[in-house]
Amino acid sequence: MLLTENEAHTPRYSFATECMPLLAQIIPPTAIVPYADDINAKKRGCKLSISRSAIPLHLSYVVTDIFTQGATFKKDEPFLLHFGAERWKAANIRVPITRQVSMDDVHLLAPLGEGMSREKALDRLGKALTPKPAFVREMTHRAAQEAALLSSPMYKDMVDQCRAQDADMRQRGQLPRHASSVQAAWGASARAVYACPVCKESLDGAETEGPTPAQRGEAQRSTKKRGARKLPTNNEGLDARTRRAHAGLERRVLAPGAKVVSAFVHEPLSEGEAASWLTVMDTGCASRRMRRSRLDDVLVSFPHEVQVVLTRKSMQILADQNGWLEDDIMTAGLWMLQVGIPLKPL
Amino acid sequence: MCTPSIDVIRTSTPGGLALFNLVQKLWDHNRQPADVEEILDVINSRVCSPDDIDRLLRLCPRAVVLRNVVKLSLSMYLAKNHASQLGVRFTHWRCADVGIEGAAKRQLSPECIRLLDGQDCSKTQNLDAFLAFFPGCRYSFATSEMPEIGWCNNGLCTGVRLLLHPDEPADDVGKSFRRLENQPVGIVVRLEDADIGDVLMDERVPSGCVPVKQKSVRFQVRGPLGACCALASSCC
Repeated sequence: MLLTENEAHTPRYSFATECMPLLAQIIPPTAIVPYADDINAKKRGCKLSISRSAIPLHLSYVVTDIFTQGATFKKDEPFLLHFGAERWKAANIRVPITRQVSMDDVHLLAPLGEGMSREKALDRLGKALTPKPAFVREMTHRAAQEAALLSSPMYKDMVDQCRAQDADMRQRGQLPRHASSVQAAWGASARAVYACPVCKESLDGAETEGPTPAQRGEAQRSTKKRGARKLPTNNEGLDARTRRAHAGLERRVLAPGAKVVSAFVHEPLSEGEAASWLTVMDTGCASRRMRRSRLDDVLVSFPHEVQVVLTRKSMQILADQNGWLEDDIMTAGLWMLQVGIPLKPL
Repeated sequence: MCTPSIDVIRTSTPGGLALFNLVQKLWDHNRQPADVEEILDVINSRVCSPDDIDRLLRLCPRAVVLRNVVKLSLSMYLAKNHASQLGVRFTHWRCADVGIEGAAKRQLSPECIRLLDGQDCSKTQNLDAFLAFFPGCRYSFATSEMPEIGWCNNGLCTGVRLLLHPDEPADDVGKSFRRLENQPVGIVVRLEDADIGDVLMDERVPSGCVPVKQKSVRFQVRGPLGACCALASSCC
């Protein structure tokens, strides 16, 4: 029954005796029991119930534009684009095109606006690309944030350094992962900004040691009480107890030997990478409403570029290996913003 | 204005610079009608010619569409092309559908099955009516059984082996493709990212692979299609 790549289809074995034990070994019992999803038909009318048995796989040769968000198409795996003649929205047009790295890689199966007059196509395209006022306000706000960030001398040197290194690598024909270049460039300079924004103390040396159980407990309690969104941007208006809690919190999120890295990472981190880095930001996966709302709060609180979210896998690895709560990891990200690590793709 | 993901574009090449300019125009919120016209012309200048299609098909391309309804037919075409490029045999089959009336099951008529074939998978509990297999076939998972190893909805994997139904008749090796009479009981796929190693401890299931077994779902077709299906079902 199991066919190798070079085998014909003729040899067959008993599924019950040969294959079922294999399935049972890897798949939990709950997963191999077929189940039926009943739909409660609320709409009246003629209907027919169908039971379908199929292998839960799709051919992935065709994907939707939603699937391609956060992806970068590779040159050796071309993607054909088909916009069809309906449901044009700004994202529908922008997303598939901006996943390419060159215009030479854009291949349309049919013209945009096929089957309609040019005037109608222009009218629909113009309407589709016209953003809503709220979106314009948001993007203007972020553009102002980016301008403020780039004009700051403290960040300008770091950004220029990373871009220069990146350009140098590109000239040499190597396109490194952004994370690698950022890590190499910021490995030393990041220590200079490790001062706690609350108590203004350096976190080098003994300060970077792991938290004591008391600190961890206190910080966790304070995290639950205050919530990540209430992390203040400076030490004004804080009493001594809150300052101590913050100091413990920020010490806790800095694991010994950890490096602060913010990067534009498309792939989930491996375990080794996640263990050596403090955290990694991903700008393409802000789809969860809960995290989006937190980031919206951050946008108001911090004057820097904040289109960031941790990858789920990275969060899981960090949580498993270091025992951090989700709030802690988010707080680490917020704290990085606070101390001035530029969080934007380089 | 911010132009997300624009830093990925390689502006050092002419093609990259052209795409950079196009993306800037797409993100320009103060564009004029002439700009829209230019955008349309630039995008339409990239429509594939027949020669381009031939060249791209040799690279086994994938496609991006805006609607789910055209996914399955185009996927089948590209999968056949991929199998042809790899020089392997293409095997395909249809899933098993039965009508449910109370506690009784009844066979659907061919007319009803044809009506169901045209349904979007979003209306059939995320299971397609057709599926194909060949070694190297690209799949995406339709369920989220084990997200920790990448077996989650839309997670990518590659087909390795087919688990045929015990009653499947012998193969006619003279044909370039094979249509299965019975739906296979599963497909062994190789995961994209997760390295699960030799979990099965069995040489017949390669390292890093998991078997995906068939599952059953129940859904209802309503409205005109339901009426047609019910009528077709009652006639069989």
